[in-house]
Amino acid sequence: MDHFEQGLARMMRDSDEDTPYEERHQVRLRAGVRARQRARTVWMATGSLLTIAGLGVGLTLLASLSAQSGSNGPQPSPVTSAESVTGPSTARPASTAKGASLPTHTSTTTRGAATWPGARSSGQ
Amino acid sequence: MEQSRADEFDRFVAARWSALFHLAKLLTGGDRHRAEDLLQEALVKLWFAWPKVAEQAPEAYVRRVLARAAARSARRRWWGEHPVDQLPDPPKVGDETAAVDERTRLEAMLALLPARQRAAVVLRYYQDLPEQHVAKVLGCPVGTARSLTARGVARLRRLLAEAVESVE
Repeated sequence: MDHFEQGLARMMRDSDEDTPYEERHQVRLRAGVRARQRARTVWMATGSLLTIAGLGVGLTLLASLSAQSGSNGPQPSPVTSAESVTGPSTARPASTAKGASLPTHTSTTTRGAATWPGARSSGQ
Repeated sequence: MEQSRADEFDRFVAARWSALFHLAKLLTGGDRHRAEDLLQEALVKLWFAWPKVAEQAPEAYVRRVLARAAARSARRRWWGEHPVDQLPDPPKVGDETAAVDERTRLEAMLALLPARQRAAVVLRYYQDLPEQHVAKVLGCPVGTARSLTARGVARLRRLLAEAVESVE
């Protein structure tokens, strides 16, 4: 520390004046604490509500997704639709006739056809 | 339990108010109102952290909150003063108002520093903290704290030299 820095430190310490802790400071401090407490309570309540809402939405979505996948669950194999799917809906009839697994581009058509009860029974 | 916490807290605040207020005043460049606001905010935070910090270092906690709040404060203050060509005369020996003048001059010079430089200078020279602690309090690397302090002191040196030149 050089002379200037020592002088600076001294000036900072010497400029200290006694400031008593007054009643108004205490009142203001307590009011500040109460206000912060209220804000925290509101914040926590809002956070809890948002969490609950988020969980609700998440669970609903999950339930609807699982319901969807449940209804699509027992997908018939493409083999059964070999005879039912005729005409232009299949790109490669030869391969379907053999019962080999089809590429996915035919799956919707196949599934649609396969879910028909008549088509299923006719194939078996 | 809550009452004893409140009593302990009140005792601490009453005992340390004056010193903390002076620190806040230096950190704000002599702005009493802003200093009081800063200190109130810091003490409110201390109240909620009290169970954790009461047994350790509550004053260090308040100092950190104060310094960080002051350092990031970009609020432009109004001094109630107008710029002049020359800085006020330095106090004469034996002058009764010498102490007040010196304080005013110090605060005026500190107020001319950017907030972060001022915080670093105050922590380093008023609080007598080593550079590592200054960095920790400000939440920055040691090199940054060193640079802030050095630039702050250099600027104060320049300001003081200008003030002396203008008097001579």
